[in-house]
Amino acid sequence: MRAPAVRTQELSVWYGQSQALHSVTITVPRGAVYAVLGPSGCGKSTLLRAINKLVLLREGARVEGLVEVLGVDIYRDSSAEGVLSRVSMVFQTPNPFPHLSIYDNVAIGPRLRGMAKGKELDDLVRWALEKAALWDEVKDRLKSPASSLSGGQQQRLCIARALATMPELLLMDEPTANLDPVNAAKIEELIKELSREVTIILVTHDAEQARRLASTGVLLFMGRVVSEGPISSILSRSYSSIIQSLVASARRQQAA
Amino acid sequence: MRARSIRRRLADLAVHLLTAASALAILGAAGHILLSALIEGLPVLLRGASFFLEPPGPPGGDVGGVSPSLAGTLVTVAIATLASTALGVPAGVMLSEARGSPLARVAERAVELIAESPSIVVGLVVFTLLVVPMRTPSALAAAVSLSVVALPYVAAQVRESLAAIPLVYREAAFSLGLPKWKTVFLLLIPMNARGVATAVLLGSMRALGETAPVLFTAGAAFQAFYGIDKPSSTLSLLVFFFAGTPYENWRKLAWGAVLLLAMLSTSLAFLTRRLSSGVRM
Repeated sequence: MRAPAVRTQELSVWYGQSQALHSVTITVPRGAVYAVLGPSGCGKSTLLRAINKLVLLREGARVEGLVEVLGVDIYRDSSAEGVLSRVSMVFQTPNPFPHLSIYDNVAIGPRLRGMAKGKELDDLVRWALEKAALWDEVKDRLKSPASSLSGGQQQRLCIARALATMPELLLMDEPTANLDPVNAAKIEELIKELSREVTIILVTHDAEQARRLASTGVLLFMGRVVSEGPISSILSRSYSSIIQSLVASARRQQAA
Repeated sequence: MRARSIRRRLADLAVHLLTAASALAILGAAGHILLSALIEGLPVLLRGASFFLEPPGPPGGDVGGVSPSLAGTLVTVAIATLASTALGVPAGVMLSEARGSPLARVAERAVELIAESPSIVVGLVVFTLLVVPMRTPSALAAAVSLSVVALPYVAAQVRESLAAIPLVYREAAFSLGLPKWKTVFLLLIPMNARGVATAVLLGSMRALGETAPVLFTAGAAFQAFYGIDKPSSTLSLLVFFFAGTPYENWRKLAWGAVLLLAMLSTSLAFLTRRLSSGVRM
């Protein structure tokens, strides 16, 4: 039987003395969008960064418990580096590399990994930009700095950068949070499209977005799992005060 | 109420006057040094090609030039810059990226120890380890001692350059799933290449201006440049020896060398400022 995309067991994360996650146990099935829901500060982003070890970049971070990604224990197994090369991430704030062109931002991952070069690399960059629905907008200025793109375009460029490394697991940390409704809708369409080929873990505090995009997920509150399972079940059961606050906060954002 | 307001204004005025006086004193001292170098050194430099291409004249004779010391300076500073970059960049990377690890802690203490040691001590150590076994001072020994002196500056600046990269870009780099060393050397360092170039320039500035480390290591070959494994000299060494002699022509040469050193240092400092001001993350 194939291992799930991600499995955590009793996962706890500390930043210095402060505990951000408390014994979190989740299972992310392969081939779907899995939503990580919860209000601000509940540990959603920390959970995501524990899955690709980015959490360790923070000063004083400490991780306990099991994190299995594509069947490999990434904190104890020596083959963790190999499995993490099959994971990519898109962040809340678009963060294309400031010193690279549009083309190089997408090409840098495959190039440094030795995945492709020359014409093959050009084709891969084009494929990733097309997947991210950005090719038509940038095909005539691939050598321009990435910073010359708008916020929405930069976020789609970051998605293309993540896709160019051919990940099996894509982590997305509130990818529409800093975008206007038009660009946010484009990214949502993209997530639907991509979910046919790659497992996506989507962090969001927007319950409606989770309902639109994800089939399963987990609801976190103050670093603890409140509920895990089908999204419809998480959003319909009476964890009422938390859910209502999530829905209300999303509606307030939309109205603004 | 009014008395308090007057007291505040007087205190404010006093602080302003004090800071202005301090600034003027520093500017005055720096101006005096530069002006002296310019007044005394410019006529020597204006002698033209002979200053750069000839060796010093005999004591009390023609002025001559500084060509052997200039060649020694260029060679030793070039080797010292290469060596301090080759060692300082990886050291700076380790200080930044392996922060807190036992090896990084030892490296940090070592870098601090070298930075805090008087540079003449570094010269003495290199004399013992290199000049004695080779049985001769040399441009190579001088370059080694200069590279040791420059090393902490390069390492510290590289560490700061990497630390200046915001977490959002650092996370993006590490999220590509590359091995850590590839991420650091092929993504993070190019991301702040200007910062690393600044580190290299700072190291060469430090090597250019030092005299104490080369006192026991370079030799005092002011008449010709014999090669990197033979006795040599540098501009700063020429100033040190010639400025105190009773010979008018050698004192003039020393002033010319002072102005040349000042011009080289100022150019490097200008370049460093241009590079570091262009760092925008």
